[in-house]
Amino acid sequence: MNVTETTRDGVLILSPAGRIDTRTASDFEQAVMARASGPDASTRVLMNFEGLDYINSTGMRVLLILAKKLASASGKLVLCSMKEHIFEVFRISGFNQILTITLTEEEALGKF
Amino acid sequence: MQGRSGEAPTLVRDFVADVDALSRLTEDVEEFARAENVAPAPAQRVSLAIDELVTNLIQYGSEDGAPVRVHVEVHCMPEVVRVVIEHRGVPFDPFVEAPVPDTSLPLAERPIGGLGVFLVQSLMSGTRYERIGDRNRITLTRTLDADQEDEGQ
Repeated sequence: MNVTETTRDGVLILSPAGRIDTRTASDFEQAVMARASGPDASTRVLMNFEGLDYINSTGMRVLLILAKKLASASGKLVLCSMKEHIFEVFRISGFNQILTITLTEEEALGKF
Repeated sequence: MQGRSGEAPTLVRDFVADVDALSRLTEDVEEFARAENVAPAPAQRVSLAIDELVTNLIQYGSEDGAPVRVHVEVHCMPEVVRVVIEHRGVPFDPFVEAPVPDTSLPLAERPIGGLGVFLVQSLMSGTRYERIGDRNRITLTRTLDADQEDEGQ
């Protein structure tokens, strides 16, 4: 698992690749929180899941923490380009109701 | 180690539950399922279900914090994948004792965590808990016909 970072239109784009599981979730949490915390951190975060092959509930927990944190700072978390089997897990968990999920990065940028 | 249990190709793993062993296990399960021609969607579901249950054993599995030794079997049959997960420990039926999350709550009210067992029950066709001697045994089944129907939607 690794997380790459870019910025577009003032939106912080984080792209985790590989597998976020119980072994890698703490690395994911540290990588995400390091970039989305602090006085200069962006409160508008787009998570591009195009390269993500796997996520379990330990990884989803990190997304929920981040979404709450951003929402409390009047910011937003948007997710895009999620593989079908990952979306199924988000749907079952009701995460598609509490997070904005789009098919493409372009569409996601329009949600901020 | 891969062997045969009755007629069904079977993957068997015995390991001390830690995050490295669990990562290897989920990848082995997916590779085994692929080799047995299980479609990707049900293979992913089975792998995730095992992952969630063993994650719970790593996090909460023993009262004294000692590592838990886990036995996992995955049986691939033409119409169903069956998983058996066994470990020694105090009796614990996750399907009864884990609280069911309210997935309709808004973001601000959603508690952090508590999704694992719910995902297992949602992703599997059947779940069963048994207490056998000093062991907890969980049996999961994932029928493969239902998955093909899912994918056709």
